[in-house]
Order: sequence, then C-alpha cells, then structure tokens
Amino acid sequence: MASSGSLEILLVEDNANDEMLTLHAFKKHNLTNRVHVVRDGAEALEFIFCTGKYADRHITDLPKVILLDIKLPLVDGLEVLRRIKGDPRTRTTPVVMLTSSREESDLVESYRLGVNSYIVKPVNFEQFTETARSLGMYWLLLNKPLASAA
Amino acid sequence: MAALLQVLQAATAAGFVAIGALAFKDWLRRRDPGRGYLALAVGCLGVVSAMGRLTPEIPAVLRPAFSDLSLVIFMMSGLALLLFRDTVIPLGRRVKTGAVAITGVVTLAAAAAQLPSGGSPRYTPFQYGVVLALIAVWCLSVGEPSVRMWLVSRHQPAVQQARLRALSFGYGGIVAILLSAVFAGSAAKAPAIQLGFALAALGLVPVLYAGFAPPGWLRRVWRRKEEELFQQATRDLLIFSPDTQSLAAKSLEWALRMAGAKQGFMAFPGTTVIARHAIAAEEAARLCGEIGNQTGIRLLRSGRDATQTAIASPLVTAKSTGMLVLLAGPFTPVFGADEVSWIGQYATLMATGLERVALVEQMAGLNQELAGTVGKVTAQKAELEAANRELEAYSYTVSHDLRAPLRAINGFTTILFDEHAAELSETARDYLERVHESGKHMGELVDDLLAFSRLGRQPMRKQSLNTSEVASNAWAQVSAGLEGRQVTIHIGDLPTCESDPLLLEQVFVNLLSNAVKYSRPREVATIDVAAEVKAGETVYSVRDNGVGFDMQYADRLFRVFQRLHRADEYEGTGVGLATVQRIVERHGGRVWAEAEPDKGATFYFTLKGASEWQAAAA
Repeated sequence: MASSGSLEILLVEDNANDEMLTLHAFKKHNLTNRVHVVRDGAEALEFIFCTGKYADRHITDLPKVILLDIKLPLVDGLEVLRRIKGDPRTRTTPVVMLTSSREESDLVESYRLGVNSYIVKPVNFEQFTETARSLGMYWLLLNKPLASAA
Repeated sequence: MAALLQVLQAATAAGFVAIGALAFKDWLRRRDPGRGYLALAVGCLGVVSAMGRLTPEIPAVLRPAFSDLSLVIFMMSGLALLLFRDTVIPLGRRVKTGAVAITGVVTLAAAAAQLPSGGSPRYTPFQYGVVLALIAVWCLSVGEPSVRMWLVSRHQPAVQQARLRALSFGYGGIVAILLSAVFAGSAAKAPAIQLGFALAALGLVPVLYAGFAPPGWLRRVWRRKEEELFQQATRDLLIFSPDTQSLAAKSLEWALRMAGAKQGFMAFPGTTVIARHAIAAEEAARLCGEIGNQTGIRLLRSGRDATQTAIASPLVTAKSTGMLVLLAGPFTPVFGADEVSWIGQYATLMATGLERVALVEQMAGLNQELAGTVGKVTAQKAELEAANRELEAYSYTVSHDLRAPLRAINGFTTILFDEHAAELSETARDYLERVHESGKHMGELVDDLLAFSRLGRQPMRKQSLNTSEVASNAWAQVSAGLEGRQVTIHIGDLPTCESDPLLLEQVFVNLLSNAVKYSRPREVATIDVAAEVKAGETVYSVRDNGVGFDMQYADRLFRVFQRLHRADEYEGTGVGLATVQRIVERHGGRVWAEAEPDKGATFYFTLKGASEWQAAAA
C-alpha cells in the first residue's frame, strides 16, 4: 500500500506562536503545503489512529515525520509517543520531539520510548529557523523511510 | 551410780555457769537490755545449779539463808527471761508490772514460809501451796516466752529461726524437767530417773548455748539451705532486674533476710537512698551522713539508740560509690566476722548489678534519643525531598513555559526585521531593536538560571585531575571570542585535585571570562592563574588587572543576579559567580575574592577542607 503522498509532516503543537514560527520557517523552505497541524495530544492520536473526526482517514496514510511537543493539553507528548511506538502499524513512523524542555528526564524517557530524535527549540529565531530547515531536509529528503509499499 | 549422778549434775551446773559467764561477757561488750536480761536469765540458772551443788558444803546455820538466796536467784532467772521476751515481743505494761509483782510476792512468801530443805522435805499445806505457786510462776515466766519464741521463729531467716528455736527448746526442756521432777513425786528419787533428768539437763546446755551465742560454723550450717536459694535469687536479680529501683529493693530485701536484720537501706550513688526497709527516709539520710566516707566493712554503733549495731558495706563501682547498711534488730544473730565478710561480698556483687542496670538504663535512654533523632532526620529528609521535587517541578515549568513567550518575542521581532524593515520608521526600528535585545537577554537569564539550578541536582563524578590542564581547556573556550583584545595569560603549575572535570572547567570558564570581561579597559589585560598551599590546604587563584570592585560589596558578589557593574558597561546575567560558588561548595570548598577599585581583582577557591576552616574560624 502506498501513502497518499500529500502529507509529509504532522506538527503537534499547542502554542500558536510556535506553530506560526515553525510554519514560517518551513515556508521559507517550501515545506508548508505538506504540513498538518493538530493542537493537542488527543487530536494527534485521533489523527494518527484515524478515530473521532479523522475516522475517514486510513491508518496506512501516515505522515513521513511527526513533530511532537512534550507539554500538550489532554494527552501529553510522551503518552502520544508511547502509543505510536507501541502499535505495530505506526511504530516505523519517525517521531521527533520538538520541545522547550531541556530536562534530562524528558530526554531519557523519550529515547526509552523509541523517539527518533530529540530537539530543544532554541529561543534564538535564527537558530530556530535553521533547526526547522535542517529538520525538514533531513527527515523528508535524506532519511529513507522503511519501504511502506513492501 | 550416785557418783555418776554427782558428776553429771556438776557438769550441768558448770555448763550453765559457763553459758551464764559467756552471756554476761556478751552483754558487757554490747550493752543492750535484751542481752542483759538473757545473760541474767542464763546466769541465774547457772548460779542456782552451782549453789545446789554447794549446799552440802554450807554450814547448817547458814543453810536457810542460802536456800532463800538460791530461791530468789531462781525466781529472778524466770523473771529475766520474761523481761527478755518483753524486749523482743513487748508485753503490756500491766502484764509486765503484774509479773514482776507476782514474782516478788511469791518469792517473799516462800522466804516467809521457811521451806524445809533436804532430801525429802515435809511440807505444811501452806508451804506446799507456796512451792506450787513458785513452780507455777517460774514455769509461766519461762514457758510463755519459750512458746512465743517458737511461734515467732517461723517467719525468721534461717539463722534466727534456729537460734530462737534452740532458746525455746532449751528453756522448754528446763520447764519440762522441773515439772516432771515435781509431779513424779517419790518416783523421781529412783536413781535411774535421777540419771535421766541429769542427762537431759546436761543435754540442754549446748542447746541453750547454740541459742544465744551460736558459733560461726553452726550459723553457716543453719544458713546453707537458705544460701542456695539466695544464690539462685541473686543470680536472677543481677541478670534480670529491669531497673535500678527494683534491683535495689530486692537486693536489700535479701540482705536483710540473710543477715536477719530488721532495718536497712541502700544508698547509691553517693548518699541517694534508693531503697529502704522499716526505716524513715530522714533517718536513713542521717545515718548516711553519720557513716559518711567511713566505707570499708566495719561494725559501728549508730543512731539515737547508742546500742544499735549497724553494718555498713560500701557499694563500689568504677564510676561511683554508695553503701548498703543493715541495722541489727533484737533477734538479729551476732554480726560476726562471718556475716561481715559475707555482706561485703554481697555488696560487691550488688554494686556490679547496679552498674549494669545503670548502663542498661542509660542505653535505653540513648536508644530512645536516637530513635527520636532518626525520626526527626527522616521527617526532615522527607521534607527536603518534597521541597526538591517542588523545585524540580518549578524549574521544569520555567524551562518550558518561560521560554515559549521568549521564542515568540525573538522570532516575531526577527521576522519583522527580515521581512518588514522597509515599512518601519527609524524610531520603530530602534524600539523593535530594544524589544529584541531584551528578549534575547531574558532568554540568556532563563538559560543561565536553569543551568544554575541543575548544578545542585546533577550527580558529581569526582576524579583525580590535572588542574592546569583543566584551566587551559577553559581558557581555550574563553579566548575563542576575543577578537581585538590583547590578553596575556599565565597558567601556573597547579597541584592536582579531586574534582568533577566538567564542573571544575565551568569554574575556570566563569572566572576567566569575568577576568577578561572586567579588564576590557586595559590595553593589555593580564591574567594569572596560580595556586599555593596555605595552612595545609590548596588555594587556587585567578588574578586580573581589571577594574576591580569595592570590597564593601564583596558579600554580594556570589549571590544570584547580583551585579556590581552596570549592564550597559559590562554585560552579563549575574549567575556566573553564584555558579562558581555552588560548584566549589559541592566539592566541600569555599570561594572568596579580594579587590580594589581600578586595581584588579583576585578570586580564590579551595576544593575541600571547608569544614576544617569553619571550625578554625569559630
């Protein structure tokens, strides 16, 4: 089965400013049209597992990368990560923690749960833009996903 | 047969005289009324029996008078025993007076009746009545005490019991012989009966002797059975007594019982009376004072009643001394050398016991204290842990939530500059620049503060380090951004140290970057990193030739966010030195500075030995 190809990035972000800045950075690098944004952990799970208002989506239609904040309303990022990595259907989708938290415990827990990358959002905007750019480039262009068509 | 009888009677008389003499001697030594009466009772008996033997030798003219005298002495022996009984078991005043009066009357009557003497006297009815009255009064005077003593003996310690019974049995025997002789009438004159009486009377001599002056070996024999019981009890007492009070009370009880004493007390330590028996507290305290430090085993007279005998044994332990004092009662057997040494040994044993119990009590107290302290420490630890968790939650919140708005300020101002600069006026751009710079500065503050708070929570990984190398690495970091500055640095040969490499490097980075920063006005900045050993501890130092500071503000240097220079002169967040202090203190060291305005500053630190230093400074 092939993924739709229309969706490249799922951004799970509850902070509107951060969302706007991230999208701004992606726009600079022509990645905007392939981004879907959800605002909390529960919606993220509905989107990924095709339930609730995303019930008409198909589970195999997965994004190429999921950008996940840790501190989220309803269901937190670590729980979302646990669900994605605990389900054989979604396990292979790369998840990148994009968070404000520099706490070592969050970092350790994320890697324990199988996160693919952990990135601390820089306060400095130049760095932020650079991070967003390299993130998009790496996961969308350089990283070769497991052949989902297999 | 008659000769044998003569010998037996003579021996009996001699025996009674001897006992009487011994009793008298005993009384001379310790003159108390009880002893006096007993000596009188036994002595009179001895005298009467001796006089009986002497009668044939007395001229006929004197015989009636001699006979009357012997009668009086005989009656006195009975009365004396009754009076002895009175000192032990008091008689009523009326009974006593009555007894004395009746004895007197009967004796006078007997003298008046001019009783015939000789082998087979013939009595007139009056004389017969008088003789019967004499015998009845004597037998009552002697018999009653004998019975009473026997009854009383049941509740006495072994030695006293045996002693009382011997006395009782001896006197009872005499009464029995006398009554038998009277009521046997003419049959009593048969030689065989006479011989029997004589043998019985002789047999009573040692019994009576044992009664009032038992020798040491006899006392030991009497005591043997009780002693076994006592030793068992002593062992239990020493091993199982839960506290000083009960040990003292029980050991005193046993001492009294074994010595047969009536009163006593135990003082330990010093003159603190911890147990007493049948004696008032004030009296015990008074005796304590009187005995004073005349410790050692001794016989002494004490108390208001000068005739009271006491035995005081020291209770000696490694830490303190006390005493065990036993006061003799009327029935108390002789306090002989045997008892003295025995009580001395017992006192030593009890002193050991008291010491053990005191230690146990002390230990129990310490245990309780310890338990209390442990409880307190546990509670404090729990509190600290709770506070720490709260702090972590707090810094997590700061980390996450405080950075988000800063990112927005920073991000959107940057976008405005990059993409909308043309639409803004000069003034607007200036204001925007200020917003942007402030946001950036606040971001640095937050990051530094977080790093600082994490310092206290990270585990330390101490290892042996080449300090000079660590300082050089730090300098490599600091000197990386020094375009356009002329800096001369000298890093001396620093002693090695036990430290966490990353944390120590942080210390040097912060101190060196401060040195560089505050020597900016100098054309050539000079920085000197050195170490010296002062009072056994290594003191590291970083000296610069910068602007220095006024020492009166030195105490503010190491506080978080405290700065001694204006932000537009010298940038910074005010966390660097606080970080240095925290790291140094986590190593058990201390940090301080010396400076003068415009003449440079020197920062010193040690990595251990802070506690010794504090102790020396106190």
